[in-house]
Amino acid sequence: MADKFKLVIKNLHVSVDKKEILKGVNLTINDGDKIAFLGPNGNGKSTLFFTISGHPKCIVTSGTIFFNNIDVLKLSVDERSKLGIFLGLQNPCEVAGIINSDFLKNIIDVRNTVPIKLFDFYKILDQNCKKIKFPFEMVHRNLNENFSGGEKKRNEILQMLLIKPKIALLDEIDSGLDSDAIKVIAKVINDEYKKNKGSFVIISHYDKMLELINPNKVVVMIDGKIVMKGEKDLIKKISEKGFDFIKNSLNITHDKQDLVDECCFKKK
Amino acid sequence: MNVVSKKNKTMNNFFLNQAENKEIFIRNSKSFNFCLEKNSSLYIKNVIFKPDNNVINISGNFKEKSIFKYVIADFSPGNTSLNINLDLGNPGLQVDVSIFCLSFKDNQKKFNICLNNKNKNIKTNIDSFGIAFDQSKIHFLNTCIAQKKSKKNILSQKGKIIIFDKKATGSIQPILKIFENDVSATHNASIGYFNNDYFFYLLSRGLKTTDIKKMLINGFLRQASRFFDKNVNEEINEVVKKYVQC
Repeated sequence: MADKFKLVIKNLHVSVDKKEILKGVNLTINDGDKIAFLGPNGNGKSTLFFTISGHPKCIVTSGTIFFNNIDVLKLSVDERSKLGIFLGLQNPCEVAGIINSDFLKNIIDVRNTVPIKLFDFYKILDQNCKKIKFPFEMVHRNLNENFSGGEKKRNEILQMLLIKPKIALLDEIDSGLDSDAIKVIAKVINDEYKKNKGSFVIISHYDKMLELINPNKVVVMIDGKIVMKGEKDLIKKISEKGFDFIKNSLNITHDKQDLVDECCFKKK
Repeated sequence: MNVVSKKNKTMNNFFLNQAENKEIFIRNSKSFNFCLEKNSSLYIKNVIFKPDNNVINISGNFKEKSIFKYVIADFSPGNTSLNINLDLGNPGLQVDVSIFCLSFKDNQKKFNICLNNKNKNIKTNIDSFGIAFDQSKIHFLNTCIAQKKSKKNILSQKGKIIIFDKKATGSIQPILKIFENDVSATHNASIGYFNNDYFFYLLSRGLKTTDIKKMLINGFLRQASRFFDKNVNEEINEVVKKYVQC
């Protein structure tokens, strides 16, 4: 990993379909952070990820996101990706007509001045497919088309391994995976973290995944705000008592039905 | 050689003798008639590059157990109208039509295939695939008819159009008309808009719109290329590169 980086989000307000979802988010992601990003469903976690990545549905009404001294909000979606921000989606699109291997080669090529040689590409691809136990023949199919839920997740992780981002935002990357697959993905994330450092921010509702990932920070979002930050022991506490103990201790009352469903990004 | 080809600018005629097999490559638009004797097989591979108003009409006569295969790859920056109208009156016939079409600017591409089965043990298949860019239009009208007495016929149709740009349009009409009970038939058709979610997903990997367009075309060419030999494929690649201003 080259220079140290820092992603700083300040007082971020975001609306989706004219409803305010994020209501003043303040969060700093440092180089070397491995953050478990927790919170009840429909409270804005995915919206924050999509906003950082530049989804056109997320309208930033106020606030800033800076990557070192670069204003992220002024960058296009592809520029944010090239800056080193990777978003691993919970439900990636099925793109008919685009061959997976073509796509995977292109996402490497756009980051280099000279396209990777075909032989080298297939070698790297083969190594990484083995790492995540992703059948190699899947690379010859259309991008995510008719992939199972688990195969789509592995394909997301495969992209992350090929791109080697500085910050990986992984949105429920474990949902739809069986327990063996969760172990594989967690190991890959841990190995990448050891090898390349960088930062990981992981949304997960599985204790097992969080236990395996062994985060060094825990952040809780409720009702579009970061309401609590802590260390690993917070996961255990939430697992035992649910998010209610946080809501009660901070006097948070909100009607979840008022929130725009996070899934507006996810189901297409 | 038993194939007779009339040197006519607009129409070719192909006559195949009994049990004769022939594979013919046609460049650009040519209408043709064919006559297939018993157990003969005609395979036509057609590539259209020419920036023109391409009109192709195909008709033919089949004798028992003859086979007609036709694949067309249309990359022309012009309008195209393809009409195939075949009466399949003898038993054991096989017809296989594959269409690949890229359309750009304000081009209109119309493909009208009608296969009329009138006897037993006939197999017909129509595959149509297109990508519409800019303000262009693609229309597939695929009709398979199984008349009475067409026992043990197998009919299949697949249609797919990807609409890349908001102003482009596409339509598929997969029509099956079946008047006989003992027939197996399948058909599917899909038209997919390359919507904002697809764009966001691909852009979020660092790709630009031009990269996405190139990948789509590569995927398309890969499907079409299996039908043509290396030289033709190289030519297709060059022509597509020239026409697609990525």
